[in-house]
Amino acid sequence: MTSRFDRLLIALMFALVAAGVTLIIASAQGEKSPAVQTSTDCVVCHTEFEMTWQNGAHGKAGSDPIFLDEWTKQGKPGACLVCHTTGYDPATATYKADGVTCEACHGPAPADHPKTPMPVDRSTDLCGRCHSDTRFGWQDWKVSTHYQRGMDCATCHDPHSAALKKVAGPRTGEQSDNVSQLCINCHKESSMDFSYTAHAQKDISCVDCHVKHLENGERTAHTVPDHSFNASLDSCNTCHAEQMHSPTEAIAPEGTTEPASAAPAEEMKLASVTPEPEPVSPIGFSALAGIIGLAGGMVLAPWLERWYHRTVKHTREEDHE
Amino acid sequence: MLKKILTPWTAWLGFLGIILLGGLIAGILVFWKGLGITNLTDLVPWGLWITIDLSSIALGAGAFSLCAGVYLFGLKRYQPIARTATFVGLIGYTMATLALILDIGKPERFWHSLVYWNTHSLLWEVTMCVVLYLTVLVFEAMPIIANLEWLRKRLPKIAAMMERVHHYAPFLAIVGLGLSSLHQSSLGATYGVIKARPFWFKPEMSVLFMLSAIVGGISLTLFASMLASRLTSKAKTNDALIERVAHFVGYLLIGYFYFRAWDALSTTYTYDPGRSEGLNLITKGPLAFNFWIVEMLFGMIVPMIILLYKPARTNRFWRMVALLLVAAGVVAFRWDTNITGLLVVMPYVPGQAIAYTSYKPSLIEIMAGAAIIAYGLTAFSLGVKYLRVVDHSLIEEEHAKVKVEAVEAVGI
Amino acid sequence: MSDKHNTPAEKTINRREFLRLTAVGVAVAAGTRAVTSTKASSDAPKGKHQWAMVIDQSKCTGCNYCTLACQAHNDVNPDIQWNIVVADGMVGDMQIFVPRPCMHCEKAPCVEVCPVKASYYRDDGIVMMDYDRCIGCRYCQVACPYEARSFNWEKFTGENPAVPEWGTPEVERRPRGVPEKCSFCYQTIDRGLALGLTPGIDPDATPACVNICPTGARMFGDLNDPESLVSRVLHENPSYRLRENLGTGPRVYYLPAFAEKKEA
Repeated sequence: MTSRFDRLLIALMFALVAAGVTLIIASAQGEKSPAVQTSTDCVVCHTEFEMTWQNGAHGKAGSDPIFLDEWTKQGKPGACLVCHTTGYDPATATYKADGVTCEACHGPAPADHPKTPMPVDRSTDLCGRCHSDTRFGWQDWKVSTHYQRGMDCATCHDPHSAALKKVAGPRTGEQSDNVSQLCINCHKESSMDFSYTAHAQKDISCVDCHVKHLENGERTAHTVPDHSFNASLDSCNTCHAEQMHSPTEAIAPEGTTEPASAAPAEEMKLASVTPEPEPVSPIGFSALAGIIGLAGGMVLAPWLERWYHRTVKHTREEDHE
Repeated sequence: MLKKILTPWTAWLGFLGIILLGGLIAGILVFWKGLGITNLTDLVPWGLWITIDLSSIALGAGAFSLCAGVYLFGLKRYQPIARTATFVGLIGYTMATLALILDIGKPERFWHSLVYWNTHSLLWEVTMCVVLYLTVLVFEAMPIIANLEWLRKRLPKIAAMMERVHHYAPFLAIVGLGLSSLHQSSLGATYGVIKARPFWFKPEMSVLFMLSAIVGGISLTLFASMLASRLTSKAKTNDALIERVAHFVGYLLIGYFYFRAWDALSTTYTYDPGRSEGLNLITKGPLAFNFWIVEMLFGMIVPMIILLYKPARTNRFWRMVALLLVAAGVVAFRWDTNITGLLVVMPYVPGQAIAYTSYKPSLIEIMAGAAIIAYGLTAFSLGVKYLRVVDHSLIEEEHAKVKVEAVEAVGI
Repeated sequence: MSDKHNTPAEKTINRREFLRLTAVGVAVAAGTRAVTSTKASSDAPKGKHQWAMVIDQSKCTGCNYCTLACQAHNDVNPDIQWNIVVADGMVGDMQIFVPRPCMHCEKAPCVEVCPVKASYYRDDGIVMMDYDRCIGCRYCQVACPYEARSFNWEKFTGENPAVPEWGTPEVERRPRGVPEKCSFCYQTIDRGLALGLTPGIDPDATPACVNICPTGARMFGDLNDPESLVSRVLHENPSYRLRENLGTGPRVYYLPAFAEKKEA
C-alpha cells in the first residue's frame, strides 16, 4: 500500500530514532577513572592552562630535544627523571607522566574534586624541589632583597608557562614582551631615566646586567641566572673589559625613545577628564550675539528703518510710478 | 494629485512620521547593540534621554495642578483647560516612560521596581508614583477618549462607562495631587541626596523641581491650547480663561525666580569644592548660555514681564511666546542640573584636583530623543483633531447632555 | 448612583462616596505593605565577621598586579577595572600610589539609592550585587563617591587576556546592561570559611588582590577579631580612609607612607 518512497522515509526516521537513543545511552556511560592523573585530565576542566603549559618549559621538560640528547648520551640516568618527569619512582624506575605536569606541583587530585578543593602551594620551596640544586645558584636567590621581602618565584614567573609574566602599560593595554617592562613595572623610579640611557639605546635590558652575569652571556643547561639581582663589577666586565683602563670617548645617545610605560594605552568607553572645563562653545557665543543683536535691532528699529528707506529711496519711488 | 494629498495636516504628520521612523531605527539599534552606541560613559551615565524623561514629567505637571485647582479649590470655570492639561499630562508621562525604557540597561526588567521594593530609594519612589499616577491619568483621561466618534458608535456602552469616570474626578484629583507632589519633588531629591556631588547636595532641589514643574506644566498646556486654536478650527479656546491662568503663571514665576536665583547666588559665597566648579560651569563655562539666557533671561525674567504687564499679556502672540519660553526654561534648568553635576568629576584620592569631563549626545541619542518628542507632538495633534482635547465649549454641551440623559433615565 | 444628586451643579462625586473611596484606597495601600517585605536598607547589618582591607602605601609600588589578578579571578572585561591604582603625589623621591577597590561602605550610597535593591548589604559588611535583579538604571554609578562601579556598556565576549597568567575566573561573566564592582572576592571568602580557613591568612580564603600583591601592601581580615592582622595594624598605625568627610564609612583603610618608612 505504501509507496517505496514512503517506506524509505519511515526507515530513515526509525534509523534516526535508534541512533539518537543509542547516542544518549552511550554518552551516559563511561565514568572517568580516578586512577592516573595525567595533565590531559586536569585540562578537561581547566582548559585555559592547556596551551600556556604545553608550549612552556614545564610542558616540554620531558620532550625537549636538548634534554633527550644529553640524557641519552649520559646513559639515561634516573636522577634526571626525578625533575623531568612527574611521579618518578626510583625503586621501579617508572614515572606517571612525561614532563612537569599538573600533579608535579599541585599533587594528585582527590576523587571528588572539585567538591574538595585543591589548595595551591605558592612558596619558593615548591619550586625549589627541582630548582634549588647548588648548580642553580639557589643561594643567590635566598640573599636577594626580593626573597627577604617575602616574594616568591610566582611574583615574576608564570608557573604554568614557566616564562616571565607580562605586564602591560598604565591601564592594562597591550602586554609587553619586553623583559625590562616587568622590572620597571615595580621599580618605577628607573622607568623615566633608564630608557634614555646609552644602555637602553643598545637594547640592553635590566636582566642583562642584573640577572645574567653569572654565565657570561651563554646559558648552559642547569644553570639559572643569578637571582640575587646585584649588578656587580662582573656585569660591567661582560662588555667593557677592554675599556676598563683605557680612555674612551663620550657616547652620544642615538636619538631618544619614548619609554613604553609612559605611553598611554588606548581606552575604550572611558571618558576624557581635563583639569579645565571646556571653553564656552562658539555656537553659544554666536547665539548670544544673535539674540543681543535681535534685541538691539528691535530697539534701533526706527532709525534703521529710516536709513533703509533713505538708501533705497530711489528704488521705491520708481516702484510707485 | 500630490497637491490634494499634501495638505498642511498630512505634511505635518508626514514630517513627524519621518522623525518617528528615525527614532524607531535608533531604538531598535539600542535594544540590539546595547547602550555602548551612545556617548554615555561611566563618568556621565545620565545624558539626553534622562533629561527628556525629567522634562516630560515636568511639562506634564499641568494636569495635577490644574485639576487640583478645578476640583479641589473649586475653580470650576477652568475645567476646560484642566481637561487639556490632563491629556497633555498623559502624553508627557508616556513620553517619560518611553525615554526610561530606552535608557535603562535592561529594558526587559523595567517591571522589577514594581515588584522589588527599596523604600529608601528615591528613584524607586519616583517609579512607583509615576506608574500609579499614569494609572490615575488614564482614568482622568477616559472621558476625553470617550469622545472618539467611532468608539461612541461601535462600543457605546464602554464609551458611556468611560464618561462616567468623570464622576470620580475630585477623588482622582486628590490622588493625583498627592502622587504628583511626591514624585515631582522626589525627582529633585533624586539629585539632592547625592552626597558625592556637592553641586547637587542641597535641600532646595526638591522645591526647585516642584516649582519648575508646576510653572512649566501649566505654561505648556496653555501654549499648546493657544497654538492649536491658531492652527485649526477644531480647537476652540476661551481666551479670557487662558489669559487669567497665564496671569497666575506670571505670579508663580516670581516665586520660582526667587528660589532659583538665590539657589545659584548662594553658591557663590566662598569656595566649596565641587559646588564652585559647578557654578563655574553654568555661569562662565560651556553651559553659560543655557543658564543665563535660556534659563534666567528668557525662561523667567522675560516671561515674567510679559505675563504681568497687561498690554503684553493680552496680546496673544506675545503671550504664546512667553509661555513657550517658560517651558523651554524649565527644560534648560533640568538639563543644566543633570549635566553639571556629572561634568564635575570629584576626586576620591587625597590631593587630586577636581577635573571636568565632557558629554555630547550621539546621533543615536538625538534621533531617539527627537522621536520621543515627535511622538508627543503626534499624540497631541491627533488628540486635537479627533478627541477635541482643546475645546473650551465642550463642557457646557456635556453637562447639558448628561442632564438630559439623567432625566430620561429616571423617567420624568 | 443615586439620581437625586445628579444635577449639573453636583455632577461630580459627593462627600460620602469620596470618603468611602479614600478608605478603600488606604486599606489597599496598607495591605500591600503587609504582603511585600520591605526591609529598608540604610545601614549595613553587623554580623559575625566584619571584613576590612588595609593598604600600606609605603609598600605599594603601583605594579598593578592586584588589578590584573582581579580581572582574571572575576573574569572582568579588560576595559573595566574593579581595582584601579592611582598615582598620587610623592614622598621624598618615591611615587605614592592609591589602589582603590570598592570601599564596601557601612553607609553605602549605592545601596541606599538602588530602586530594586539589587545592591544590598551582606551580614559581613560586603556590599553585594544581584546581577539578575538589576535594571541598569545607573543610579548607583551616579551616587558612588569613589567611581567604584563600571557599567557594562557592551557584552564582554571573547578571551580574557589576564587569564590564565594572572588567575582563573571564579565567577560568571556579567551580562550587558548592568554595572559591576569589586566584591571582596566573596566567593573565595565563603569557600574558605566553609573549609575552616581564615580569610586574610589562608590564600584560599583571601581576595585575589591581597594574595598576589608582591610586596604585601594589601592586608585583609576581620575587624571583629581584635587579634586579626587588620585589627592589629590599624591599632598600631595611623590610617585614613578616602573621602571620609562624606560619612560613608568605607572599609578600606590606607596606611600613609612616611619618608622614614620607605627604604632605599
